[in-house]
Amino acid sequence: MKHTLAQFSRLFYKDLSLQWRSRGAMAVALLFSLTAVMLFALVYGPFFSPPELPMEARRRELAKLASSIYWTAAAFAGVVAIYRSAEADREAGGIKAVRMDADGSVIYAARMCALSVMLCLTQLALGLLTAAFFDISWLTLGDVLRLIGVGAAASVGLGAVGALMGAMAASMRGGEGLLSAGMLPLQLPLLMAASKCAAPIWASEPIQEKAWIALLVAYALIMSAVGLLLFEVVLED
Amino acid sequence: MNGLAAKRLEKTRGGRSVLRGASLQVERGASLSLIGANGSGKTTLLELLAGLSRPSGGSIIWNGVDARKRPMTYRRCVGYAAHEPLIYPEWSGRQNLLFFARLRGIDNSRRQVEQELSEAGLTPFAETPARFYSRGMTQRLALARVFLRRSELLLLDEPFAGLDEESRLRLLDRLHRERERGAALILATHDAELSRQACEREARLQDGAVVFSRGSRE
Repeated sequence: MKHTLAQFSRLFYKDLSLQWRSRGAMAVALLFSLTAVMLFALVYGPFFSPPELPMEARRRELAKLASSIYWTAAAFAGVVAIYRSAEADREAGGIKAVRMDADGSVIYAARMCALSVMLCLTQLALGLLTAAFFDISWLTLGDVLRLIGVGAAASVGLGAVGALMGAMAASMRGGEGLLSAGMLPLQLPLLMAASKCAAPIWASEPIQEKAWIALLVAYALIMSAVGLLLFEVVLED
Repeated sequence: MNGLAAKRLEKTRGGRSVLRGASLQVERGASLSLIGANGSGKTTLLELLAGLSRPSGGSIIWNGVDARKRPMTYRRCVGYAAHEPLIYPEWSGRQNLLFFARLRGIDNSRRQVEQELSEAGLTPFAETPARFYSRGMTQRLALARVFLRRSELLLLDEPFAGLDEESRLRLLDRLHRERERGAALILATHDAELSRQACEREARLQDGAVVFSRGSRE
């Protein structure tokens, strides 16, 4: 057990370190995501809804837009981060050498956690800019913490499916296209749940439809379990 | 059997049968070189023997450990150098070796790493990212990673590729020492002369099967 934990921490560090070294690609993805957020904010603007609407209604509409744009941008940045992570392992065959000493489930768990951390950080940066560009100034500390909770759950879900799909894509020619084509439909339930959970929070309101929270958490748990079971098979060829 | 026994290995890739009932045995301290034309399945066979790829049929057993039933135990006995260097090019040579040594749980990993770096002649370049290494230096680093493991079964795919004359001689000497400590060695090479110098037995891969041609007891 102690040896497994030590292996996990080394692999986690390795994945984070390789992600950091390929931060150029992440910066481009983040920049693209920020451009999308900024454009929507500028076109629709903080006053996109008719000014005659009551403040409450305007806030709600703005929150819905912010939430959907935010998660679209986060999904795109996520695909880039996931591909880079798998590519760094595949480039000179490093993953094969790792497999000689570490079990597939440990490699997967470390990759999933490292990806989740990266995605959380990306979402944090995106969240700050979304709030700034959409002029969302009414969030309380409680709202921010709830948004972080939703972001963290979504990051785990994205990391879980991304670690598995990334390994599959990296083992194939033209894998980046496959990753986008495979990831986006696969992560759709998660993105829907995250958007639906986040929208009322952006409006500083309670989440009425609890089923979306259940879907968000269930997705993260199920995908993590599936990844743990299938990762070795995917790598094994 | 005290060593490796691979029986009737089969592997199909992309609908094409690459290996068709390949069998071989290598005892501890013994050596075997695999030769064969490009695409004859040498690399596929070594990947199966390394436990990294699943055979479509057949069995692989090392000292009683079945590679299919106890894959992790089996793989930990193996040192595998592939066509690709199996390293992280963004990391320096020292970082690569330290990472793999610690992942394996090697005691005194720093000392062992310095020893392997020195033996590979890479100490002056230990802090340079591996992506700046020449072909020969990359190959020496790849082999240092394998030797660091002190594996019981060495599987080397074209280990002499990219090495200069001095490095080849050093590698031949190292292989001899590895066998003396009891490691079994299987290497794939195109070079008949190096094959003769490195291994006591030679086998050819032909039509997906292993055909013994030199020093054979099969």
